[in-house]
Amino acid sequence: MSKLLLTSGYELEQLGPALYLLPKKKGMAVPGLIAATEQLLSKGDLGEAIKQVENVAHLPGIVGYSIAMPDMHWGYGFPIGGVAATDAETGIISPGGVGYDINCGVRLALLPPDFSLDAKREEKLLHALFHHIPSGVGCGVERSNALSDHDYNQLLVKGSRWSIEKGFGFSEDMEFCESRGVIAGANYDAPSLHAKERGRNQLGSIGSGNHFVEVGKVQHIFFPQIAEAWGIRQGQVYVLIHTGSRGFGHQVCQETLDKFLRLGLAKELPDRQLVSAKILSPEGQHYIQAMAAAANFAFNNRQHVLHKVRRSFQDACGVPPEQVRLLYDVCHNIAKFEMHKVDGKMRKLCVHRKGATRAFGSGAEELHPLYKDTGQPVLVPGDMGRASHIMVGMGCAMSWCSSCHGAGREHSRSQSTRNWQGRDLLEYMRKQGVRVMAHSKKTIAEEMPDAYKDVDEVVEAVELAGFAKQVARLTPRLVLKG
Amino acid sequence: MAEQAEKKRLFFALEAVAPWSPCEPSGRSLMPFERHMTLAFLGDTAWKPIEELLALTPSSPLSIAPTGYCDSCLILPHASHPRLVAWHVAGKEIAAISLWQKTLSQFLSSHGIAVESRHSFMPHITLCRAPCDVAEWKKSFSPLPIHFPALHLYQSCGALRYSPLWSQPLLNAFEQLDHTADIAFTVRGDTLESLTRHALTALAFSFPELLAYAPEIVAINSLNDVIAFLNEVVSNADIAIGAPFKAVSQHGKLLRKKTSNNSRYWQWEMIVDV
Repeated sequence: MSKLLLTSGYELEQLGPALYLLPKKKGMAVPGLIAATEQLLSKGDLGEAIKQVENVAHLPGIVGYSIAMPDMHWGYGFPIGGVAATDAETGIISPGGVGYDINCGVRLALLPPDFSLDAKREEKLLHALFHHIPSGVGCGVERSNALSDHDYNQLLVKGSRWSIEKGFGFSEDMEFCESRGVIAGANYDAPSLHAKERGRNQLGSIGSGNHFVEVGKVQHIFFPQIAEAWGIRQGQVYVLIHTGSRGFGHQVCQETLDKFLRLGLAKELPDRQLVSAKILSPEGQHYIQAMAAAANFAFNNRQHVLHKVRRSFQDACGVPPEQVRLLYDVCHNIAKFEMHKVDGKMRKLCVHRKGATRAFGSGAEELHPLYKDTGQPVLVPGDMGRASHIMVGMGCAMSWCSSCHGAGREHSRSQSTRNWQGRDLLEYMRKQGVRVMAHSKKTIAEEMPDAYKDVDEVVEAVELAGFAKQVARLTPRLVLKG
Repeated sequence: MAEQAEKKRLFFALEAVAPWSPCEPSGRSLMPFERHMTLAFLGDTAWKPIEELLALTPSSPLSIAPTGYCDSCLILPHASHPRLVAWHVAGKEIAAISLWQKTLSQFLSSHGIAVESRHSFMPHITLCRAPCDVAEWKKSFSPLPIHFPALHLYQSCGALRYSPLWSQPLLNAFEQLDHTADIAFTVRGDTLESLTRHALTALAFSFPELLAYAPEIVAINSLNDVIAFLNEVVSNADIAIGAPFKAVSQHGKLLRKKTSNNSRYWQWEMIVDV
């Protein structure tokens, strides 16, 4: 087994192409598993992220490995790109392993193959998207459209079916969502009034930071048979939406962390942010119900944003809404109860994915028949200048059927802002062939392409590790940023 | 003889760092890096005696650089005869700054250095001198957080330029760190209450509007309390107007540290989800 010594001082043992073991040390219940190429591991300082992989391995009841995806970077508690599974009966659930933005995720929709964008259409479309989709700090829906208590009662439990029943989409949209757009077990009463207040006028908005709506073209097909089965053609126009549960989810996570800490549940853990409760305890169950509610808020949020995208295409380009076809919607901050084989036996596990995406392979029960034949789509947004990817899940047992969620940041927001100070960002992006609109120039500076790892390298590592395979490479043309 | 005769126009002041608005009204404005809060104005003073005294200048009563916030616009000396526009500074740490100002003035006076003492200490930062559009400046005011990282002896060089001849740097109340996931700060305070205040100031540097949603800081006995307070502020702001950060995380240990003169203080790595 060859070894790799990193500049951070960590020594990893190579298990396979793009797979490294972080050996067990004192306090770790399991070893770490790091999916990355040597090239990715040599870029930047991953010491803090690997420390977090080590810390996660201390979680009570953790099974298998503490896993990090190729887009891993320094988070808090879990690394971003972290995956950890615990036993559903005897193990714990950790809100930090889900993240503040519960069910932050991505959905991708496709335009008809014969639809094309020209400069005039692009201009109209970008302005239509900016007009219809609230984005940026403080930009939510009009107070008159704010959610009522009755609305909350329904949408937090029904998931995206609520939005569809209200006319914000089509019933087939649910079929092409992870978990059919709903996480079971939500309880309307579990999130606090404060959480509901935070989300009340935020449904149908993308928020700020790294959230976006992107329109582009399929640039290259890697896996023609899968692309054919999924109806993806080279040159086809796509829309990618990245957003989550907004302030609602953040409040749920924050209140739960505070409660767990005050109950003294972080003792023996190397990082307070890893605080957790037994899944079957009252506090564990309460969090699971609140997390499910927040996840369902996020599914509805992305459904509403897709509705507004469809409206934008109709207004700007005359495309009927039903022709903007949802390919898939994935969660990348969530804990899910799934059946996995452990030591030869099927066991129910609680799989935490913090900046990681489920990647079920062919045959997985939950999937729509189309994806049951092929494996599920794995959506990997890159950065706004270079590319995004569609992959197909391989159902890799080692990673609990998980894959990466994006490119992963290489530079901090403040570093990126310093790097681009005094430069005309919009003009630079225009020269790259991408038009960007955002409420805040600061956000654009923070999100410039070079702030992120090269997504091509990340997906290559995912494929080498056996987690998912590349299907298509996408290149952006229009980006709406928060 | 020539050296003793050398005079400079001097004053002691705290350097004032703030997220100044990029769109200020017109007028003879002080550049942001020139802005300060005067503690003792000496005027045209013989340089040599001052130079010899500097090593004995009393230290700050605070082990950590103080913070405050601008809470109103002042037109000085009075509205009917405006000569300058200033932002008034308020906050819990102004009392300690005021004490320092008295100590410094007494020290200078006791060594025969005349200190202008027409008025009692009024904490303020001058932004602009006449001629200027006073009405526009008044309209432009909004609350701002302030950080005072050092005491300087400034020389007034004319044309609103000031040159620091001597400095007593303080340990920063907060510093931004590079963090790939979100935004992060090292925050310091000699008590948990001041740590909370400095953490709030750090956040307000990115989003000054946050100050309007901050209740009084009370009953802070643990890191849990610090984080709960900050999250209450963020949450209230997010509900009312939307906030660029969503939650202060639980990550980061609270450490007890010592300054170079053995004063103890708290230090915490604050990571904020955006």
